Amino acid sequence: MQILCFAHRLEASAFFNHAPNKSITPYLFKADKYYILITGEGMQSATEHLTEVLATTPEINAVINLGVAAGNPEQTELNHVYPIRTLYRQRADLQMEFRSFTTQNKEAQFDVTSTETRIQSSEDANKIFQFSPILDREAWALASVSKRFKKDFFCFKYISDDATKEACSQIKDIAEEISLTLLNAYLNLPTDKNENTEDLIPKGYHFTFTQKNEYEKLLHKISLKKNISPKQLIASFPTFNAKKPNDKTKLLLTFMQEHLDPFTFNIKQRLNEITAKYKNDSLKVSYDKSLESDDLELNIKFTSADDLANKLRNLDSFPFEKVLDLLRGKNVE
Amino acid sequence: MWSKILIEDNVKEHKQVKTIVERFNKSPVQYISSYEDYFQKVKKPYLQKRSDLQLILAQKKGSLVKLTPAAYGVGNEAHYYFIHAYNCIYECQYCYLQGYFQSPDIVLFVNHDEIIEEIKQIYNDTKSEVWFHAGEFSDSLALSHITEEWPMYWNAFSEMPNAYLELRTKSANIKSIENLQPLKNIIVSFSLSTDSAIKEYDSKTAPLKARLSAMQKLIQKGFKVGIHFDPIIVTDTVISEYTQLIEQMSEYFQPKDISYISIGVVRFTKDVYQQVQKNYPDSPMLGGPFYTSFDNKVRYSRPLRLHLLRAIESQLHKAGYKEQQVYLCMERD
Ligand code: SF4
Repeated sequence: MQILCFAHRLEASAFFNHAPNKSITPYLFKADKYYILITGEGMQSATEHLTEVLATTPEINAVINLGVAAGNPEQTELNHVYPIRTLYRQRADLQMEFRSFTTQNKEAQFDVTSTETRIQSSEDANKIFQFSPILDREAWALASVSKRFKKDFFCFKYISDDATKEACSQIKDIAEEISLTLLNAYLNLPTDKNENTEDLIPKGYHFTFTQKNEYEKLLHKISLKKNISPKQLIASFPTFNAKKPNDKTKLLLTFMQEHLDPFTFNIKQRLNEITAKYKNDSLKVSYDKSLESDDLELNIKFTSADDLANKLRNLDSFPFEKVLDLLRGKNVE
Repeated sequence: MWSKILIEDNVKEHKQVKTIVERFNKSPVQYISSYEDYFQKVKKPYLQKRSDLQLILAQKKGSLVKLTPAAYGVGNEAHYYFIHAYNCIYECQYCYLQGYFQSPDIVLFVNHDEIIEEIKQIYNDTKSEVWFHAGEFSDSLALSHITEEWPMYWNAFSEMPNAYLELRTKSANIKSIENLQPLKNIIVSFSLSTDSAIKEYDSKTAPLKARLSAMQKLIQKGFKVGIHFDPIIVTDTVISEYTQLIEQMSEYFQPKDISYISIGVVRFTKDVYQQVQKNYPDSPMLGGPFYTSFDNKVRYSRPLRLHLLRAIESQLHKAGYKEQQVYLCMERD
């Protein structure tokens, strides 16, 4: 579900007409496919309104800001809608805020700076044009809240004014036209074609929370490495037979680990085989599981000097050279 | 090429600045008092370099020549790098600059006379051989036909026989140096990867054949040339691809023509890795398999990277490169 944020109600008029909606609060409305939020003007108001809604409405996964803005006449055209790429902020002391946000719109080429105070002169506007050709009053704040709540963020700005001149357009007179143009831009927003991760869980397996995380990570990495889609990859998996679904899952995960990094998998297996021979109730040799060092660890329980000598004698046959070679990636073919 | 050229007031009469501005006479120019008021003033997303790249011409203040990190270079000599530029016009997916600067805009410093003075000072204070590297924060040759700084360095290094200068590049742009007098203490080093890796990961850099031809041309003119096989990126056929690359090199030059070859396996700081994930989420390189290594960097497993280094080193020896020509870089083991 998306939430569409407008500073003023007039900017949203076409959206109200586009789909039946019901009022939830005086400034929040719900239609079939989206919420409409009227945030009021300025960053403080935008932050408060959006935070309140996102904190209480988990079904929202994307925030879309639509509204009017002023543009640099050399880089933007009046009465055009621009999809926004990066959002900057000019603070109340007129310094630029270091933090910026980027929208999920990969096609966007225009940036916006949200200003705390209204721009009074062309000199002030020119300073901001160094960073972006579009100026507004809310977008950065909405992007900031969206990021905090881990929501996708999109932004469209309709250029209603020349930023180097005093604001003159009577928004009221052309509000309907502006809103219709914004609605058009919104309707042309590409829909998310991402595969639902639930579709990528193979049938007949039972995953714990940790196993599911690991499975998803492995699936993603192997698909990247092999340059195939996750669905194609799943189709190429062999069938694993085990009595318990959990054992089946373990077999699948082991298979995927091997698939992702056959070299390291093979090293670990051979190290495990070697160390298994030196593992019993009172003696255990283990290697550094990160494989980042040559360190070997010996755990030994003994009851007397003779017992210790006996157990240490067991280690005479430990193939140190072979283990070191494996840890250093040598002679592994 | 540039969305804007920003020029510091104090360098606007500089000869190099005038040449650059003339060369890019279609780009709008703006004069500024200090580059620090603009560069990294806001966080500008890295990939904005594709559509909105600014060029800043400035004077570098503060320390101009710095000691390199440990494990840098061929021998035990002191190694320094000097800063004559920030950022790069190329776009290699693994580039550490994407996590290093908060803006992709290119800053070219034009006070080479001061950089050279500092180099001379260090040279005079150092009793033994000393190395100076260009290109820690940019490609040394990519824009050199326009910036034309290298003749000044040639003059300086001709008077410092025990000081070595390394220019490092992924370009084939040798226009600005090929007619200079080759010096035995200036090495032009080319980073080479397999043809498929260059196509997949080194966007906008020179194709492999162009780099090899440029090397051949310099060698024929008597220049000293080095090679960096760095970063090696794992594929199922990585060793055979490097074997092929070494064979291909022999069509352009002989082992005796090469001053040194360094070999390094891809590695990232955590910050850079996060940036790579953000900027290139579909890159096959992210299939890794990566782990956190002994120094908290993101690397392949230690056995795998040692195996890769050794296998490629051995292919070089088979092709006739001597032991003292080949060194393994940035790896503790
Ligand atoms: S050539 Fe070097 S500096 Fe330039 S993008 Fe590639 S890795 Fe980075």
